[in-house]
Amino acid sequence: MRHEIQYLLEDVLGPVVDAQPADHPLFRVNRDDSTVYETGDELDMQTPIQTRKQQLQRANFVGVASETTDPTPAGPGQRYDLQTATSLRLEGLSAAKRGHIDHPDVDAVPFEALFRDVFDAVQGAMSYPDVGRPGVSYRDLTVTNIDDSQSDHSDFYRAEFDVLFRGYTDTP
Amino acid sequence: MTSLPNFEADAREALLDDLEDYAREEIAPQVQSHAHEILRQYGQRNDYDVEPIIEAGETEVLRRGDRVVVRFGWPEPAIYFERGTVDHVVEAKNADVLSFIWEDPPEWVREEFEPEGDGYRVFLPKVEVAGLPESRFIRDTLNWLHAEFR
Repeated sequence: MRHEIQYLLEDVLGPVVDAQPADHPLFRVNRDDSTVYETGDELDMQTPIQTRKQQLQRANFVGVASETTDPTPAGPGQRYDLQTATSLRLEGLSAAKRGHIDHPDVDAVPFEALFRDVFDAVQGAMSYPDVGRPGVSYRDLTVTNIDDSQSDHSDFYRAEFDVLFRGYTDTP
Repeated sequence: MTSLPNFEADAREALLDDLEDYAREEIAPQVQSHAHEILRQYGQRNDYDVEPIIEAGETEVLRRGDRVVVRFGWPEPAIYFERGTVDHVVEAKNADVLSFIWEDPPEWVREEFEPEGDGYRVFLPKVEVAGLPESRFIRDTLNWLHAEFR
């Protein structure tokens, strides 16, 4: 699902990254191969957030991973309904711990606003997302399974949701 | 001539009855078995006993006005399997100590406690529990449901 991941990271999230303040950058992570787009470093976002304190002092992170795909035969000829599921995870650390998320005493980026920017960027791509995968045409994408509840570890901020690409494919 | 004074209302009710049956007999069991299949594979991969969660899984089919609602639920530990957890410490709160059978324990446990069942019966004020990787069994099932019944 390289194309879907690349599409989300570059076409959709690129403008959000560019709009961040220079002091509080947002780094993108391809969670399928654990690489950070901005630095080329390796970063495993599958481990619990508490293990990434050091990295989160450098920047906020948004990571995308591929999950499931369900091609189902549809109609006559070589045509399949296709749904490709990807997940998006946003993480940050409070500025009080030298991270980049707003704290009452230290200015940085409000987490809710950052989440809203990411969410809106994805929603903005909902109609006919052109991911450039040969033989596949997506009709739309939809956001589901939103999980933005805060953990007890109040210095860490995380939110995630799934992005479903829905359309057709020639090859299952 | 037959008269059907409540034709529209009766037709709507009949359709909803059919839908409710379909939800109860097809959708609910399929969703449960899909979720439990993911959970079993996850349990096997990580060597966890997931059967208690599977046994406690519940589905409910309800009629709310002109809608049929299917609800799924699993008891609280399921959310930790779903999302994953960090390494954490479990302390005895409602008792003086925690007591359980530790299967295949480290050497110090063998020296200090007595064998019982498949392991050793331990009494400890607190234990460190390794974190769980995320299983996504609920989210992947909901995504599958989107694709299956679109």
